[in-house]
Amino acid sequence: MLRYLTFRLALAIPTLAGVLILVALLLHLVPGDPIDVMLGEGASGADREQLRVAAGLDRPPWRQLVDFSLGVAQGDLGRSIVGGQPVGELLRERYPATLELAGAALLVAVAIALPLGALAALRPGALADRLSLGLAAVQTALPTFCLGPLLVLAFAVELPWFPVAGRRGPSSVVLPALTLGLGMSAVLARQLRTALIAALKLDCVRTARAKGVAPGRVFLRHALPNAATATLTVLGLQLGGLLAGAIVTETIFSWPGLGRLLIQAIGARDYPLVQGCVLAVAVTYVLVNLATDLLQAAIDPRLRERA
Amino acid sequence: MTPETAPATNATARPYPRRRSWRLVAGACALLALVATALLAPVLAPYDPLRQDLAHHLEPPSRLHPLGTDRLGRDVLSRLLFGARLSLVVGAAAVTGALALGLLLGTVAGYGGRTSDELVMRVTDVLLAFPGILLAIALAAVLGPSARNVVIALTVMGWPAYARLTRAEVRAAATRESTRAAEALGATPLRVALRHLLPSARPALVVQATFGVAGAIVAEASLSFLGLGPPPPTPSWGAMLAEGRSFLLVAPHLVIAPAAALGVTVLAIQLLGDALRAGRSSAA
Repeated sequence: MLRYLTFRLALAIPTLAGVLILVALLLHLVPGDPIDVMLGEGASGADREQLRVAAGLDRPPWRQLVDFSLGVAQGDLGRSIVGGQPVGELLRERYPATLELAGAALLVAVAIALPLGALAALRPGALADRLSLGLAAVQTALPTFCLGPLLVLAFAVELPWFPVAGRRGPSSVVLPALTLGLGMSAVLARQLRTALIAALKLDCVRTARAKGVAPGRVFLRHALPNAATATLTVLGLQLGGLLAGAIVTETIFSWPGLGRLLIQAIGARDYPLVQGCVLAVAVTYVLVNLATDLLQAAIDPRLRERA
Repeated sequence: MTPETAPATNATARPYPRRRSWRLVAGACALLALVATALLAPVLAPYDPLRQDLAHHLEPPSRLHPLGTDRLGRDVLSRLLFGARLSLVVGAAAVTGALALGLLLGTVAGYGGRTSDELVMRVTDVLLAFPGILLAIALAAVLGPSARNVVIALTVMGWPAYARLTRAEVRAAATRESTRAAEALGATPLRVALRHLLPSARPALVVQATFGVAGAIVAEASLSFLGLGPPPPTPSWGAMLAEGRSFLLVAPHLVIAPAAALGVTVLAIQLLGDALRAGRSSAA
């Protein structure tokens, strides 16, 4: 396991470095002079020079990249142009809200997908199977920014059960988590169904049944673990979609997380903050995928052999 | 597979379903209708999509305005019809760009030797390390809001998937005897790629690109929703949704209409993609 751990960690390093380079150079894609874009045409010469130095734009590009990377390594992501606060501080402030939303959405997705996928696999073609297919269709046709407002219309306006927006108290997370989690649950349920149908045909399951093991135990102890690895892969990949979807969902529900911060930073042309947000979300995604891989290896010893 | 679907003997000769499934027909018809609607928007639209009529703002659907009016009194149906043009054009352009780039780099990676393979694959690794639409958001944010920049952002976001698929298909085709024979007979790498490698990658790419158009349309709407699409007053479904959100209480049709338009479009393309994929797996 240790060997696999080091192998997988080594694999993540070039990817993280690439992400860093791309984010560092983002500023150079701004058409024209990014200083003009950030400060507006009317800014004084002294202000412009000050910002140019602060943003590191007076140095050659390779130097900017090195400085940016060194800064990131020390947890220094520069300062917000609008408020002047350190970007790292702003990110730390917002990060828990995004984690809470993503965690709640994941809970919603698994809570729906697990029973639905299991029932669909046990009786293909029956009600649960059709329901999961219908859910998948709805999910593709109703992206988060359609589903969110419709949920608000139904459960915050027509039936005032939950708050329309904001992050106050446990009830405020329900609608954002549903918006984000419902979409994920459909894919997850279909994946679990496929994996379970394959697992139920395995020799070990047949043997267990022949030995007279109770059906519930066969399902939980023999079929489910075998279906878990493939489902975990999809779950890990979906978490990326979850993080990206959180950007839109947070905007819909005024949820004070990283995504909303990113959109606000874009609106204010606060590029150092934009860089920080993009970096934070991308690094989280890489680490989540790493964690998924390690978890899979922990469940399935065969994966460790391949390293 | 049901016995009626006669198994095709040769996978490359018959990549598409022989028996037309209802999904293929329904998806293709719906998509054709959508394209026709978008093309004929100037004829079909009852009003100018930009014409404001503040005296009649936020009106519910009526005989005069079948889908009501928005906050500036603009006709929602007309804006929806013109919005379809933007969605379809951006969706098609983004997928064309991503496909072209992905085909080129995927072939180079799969057939061009180890160094080029490593190089292209590491770049796709990095781009795929950005979750979903984040990269497009970042690019659209720095490039500035416009339809052209949305296409650029979605192309950059989309090409790695096509490159990987092309590479996999090209590598599989490169080991086939017919390819080896062509190489032995002195065919140039370009000829081998065009005549022997890419044709076998085509069915998989067609399916992927079909789903890709749906994905690009949703992504364009997401960017427009976040204010990163073409600037107002350009009619765009995502921007209409974002705008309508503030009037959920008084004018829910402002959200329901663009959401439904987007949903129907995505479902039609999805249906077509499903049918093409099913055709592939029955042929294989």
